[in-house]
Amino acid sequence: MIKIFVPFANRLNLNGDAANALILSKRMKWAGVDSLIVALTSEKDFDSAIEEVQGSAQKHFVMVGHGSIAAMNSIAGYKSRISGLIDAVKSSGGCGLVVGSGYEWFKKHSVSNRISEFRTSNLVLPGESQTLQVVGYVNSAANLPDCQWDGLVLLTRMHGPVLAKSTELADFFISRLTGSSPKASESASKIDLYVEEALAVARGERD
Amino acid sequence: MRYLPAVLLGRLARVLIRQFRKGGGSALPGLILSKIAPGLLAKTISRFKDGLVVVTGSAGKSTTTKMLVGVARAHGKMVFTNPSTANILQGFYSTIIEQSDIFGRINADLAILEMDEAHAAALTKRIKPNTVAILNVMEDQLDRFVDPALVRETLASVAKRAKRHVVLNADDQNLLLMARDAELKDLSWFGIRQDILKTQRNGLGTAPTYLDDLPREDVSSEVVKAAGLDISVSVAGELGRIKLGSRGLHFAVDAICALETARVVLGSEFDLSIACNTISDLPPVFARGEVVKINGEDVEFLLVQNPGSMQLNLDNLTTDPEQIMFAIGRDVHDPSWMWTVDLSGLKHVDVVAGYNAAEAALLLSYNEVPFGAVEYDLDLATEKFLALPRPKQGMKTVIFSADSMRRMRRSLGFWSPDEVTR
Repeated sequence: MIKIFVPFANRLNLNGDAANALILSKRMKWAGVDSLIVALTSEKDFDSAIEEVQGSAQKHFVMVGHGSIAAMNSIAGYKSRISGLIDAVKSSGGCGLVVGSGYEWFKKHSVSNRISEFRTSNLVLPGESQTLQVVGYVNSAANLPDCQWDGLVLLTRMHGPVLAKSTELADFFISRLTGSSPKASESASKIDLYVEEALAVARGERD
Repeated sequence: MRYLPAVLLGRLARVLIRQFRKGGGSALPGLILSKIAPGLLAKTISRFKDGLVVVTGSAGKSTTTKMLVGVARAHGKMVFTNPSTANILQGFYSTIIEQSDIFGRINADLAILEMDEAHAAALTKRIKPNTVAILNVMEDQLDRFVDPALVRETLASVAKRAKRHVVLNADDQNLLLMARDAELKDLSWFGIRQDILKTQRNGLGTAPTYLDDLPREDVSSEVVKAAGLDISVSVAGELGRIKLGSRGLHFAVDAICALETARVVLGSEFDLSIACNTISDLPPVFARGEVVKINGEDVEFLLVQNPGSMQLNLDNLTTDPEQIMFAIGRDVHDPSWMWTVDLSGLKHVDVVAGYNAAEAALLLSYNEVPFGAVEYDLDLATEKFLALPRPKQGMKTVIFSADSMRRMRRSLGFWSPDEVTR
């Protein structure tokens, strides 16, 4: 079973970031793939997760969310463990998503000012010439690229439920985790219609 | 005399706008007046002998202000206030246009104004309030305020400008932290008795500080009992009872904040029984658990403006409504916050509506909340929802964001400027 590891799901969820795990899990379910969301909140949790990732052939996923200043301070002592989990997932061929302040946490940067913008980023897939669109909201003008791959772990300045409207990215992750494209489903097709409309609204294309 | 042309121009703009848009047009005249006579608000308030009371914080400002104004008026005070949700700068100027004479003068003893955090910080730089009441700090409007820690800093700057009293919620760790770090003086505290608070599934929705809890301060005013709409309060050792206009413990917080603020503002004139009776007699602030008659049928309106208010309203859907409309409008610029809310209290939705209906449908789909029609045109959605047969029990319930609320109310014929401002 594919595990979706979510460090401190309650704390790193300022903008609904933890919902990425839910979205991925639901899309896998609709495609007939079993998955389990695993919340990590203690050293023991992290040790078990890293052990599991390193000790099995199964590819897993890690989702690191965006926290308030207080939340990030409160988990500062876990930074190396979260980083260790990401490395373990990456080395085992698994995938991951690190959003918002989670990304800023791991990469040296400066923040010039605060913004609130909807962004579209054309993402080149690792090891492929194909691109897909990643969309979401940004509220920090950090001098970092909007999206950056580290193996199959995507770091993005966009916060919140990025996968809700970036469904191609969600399906790309599923294909890399399972080795094949996710099976079409009625639920996923229905979602695509809402995604299209939600994107039109976010881009200001609706009156 | 100095402000005569500006006030007349503002009034003219208001009349013209209302020719074209019934029930609307209160924001633009205020905006015009604020640009051409920026000093008018400070001048108006400086004439009031009892000065300015500011009610601020993330949630509950409108209800608390309405309660506080009612209590002050019941004690014989003439009060200048802003209509519900007109809590930004142009809203204050719009209120002056409506309530002043042609010279911009208002006959009042004091101003009691609800202000959002940012506007409170801006306005109190120019006008020092006598009293500042702060309800809470929530993870709210993060596209504007970014982080609760920054909200705390903003509110601390407002509280520091209070000339007499600062009234704070003792059940919000953010405010305990703020009072300590900002070394605030002349404080008084209100709260909910701890055993009552523990019954609330998701607490009061205040932003977590992720620090060891600071000890709760001694409160002067406290809700000591809560059963449905009935609450018992203790204010400076005296007991009183209130029947709230809307269900939910967050309304009890608003009531106890209003009572404590009234107590410090009115001083020896404060009479708890008058205050409790006044609050009990108030109708709910529109759309906060308000029940309206439409086509002879009761319909409940629940306004959700942030994760906290959405969570509290969903947690308080105790009647498990048979028919629900969920309408999210243009005011939700970054809908990410809706994904932080635990939707387990929402068993189904009949009509998903509004400018952000698709985003709402995505949210419901991934949370496996069954839903019926998705209608982007709010008027059509309203029509569809109201055409549903009457529920066998309870009443139709509309959960909406502020923009959908204003548009829906206007299309249903709720014209009063107090109901559809901003």
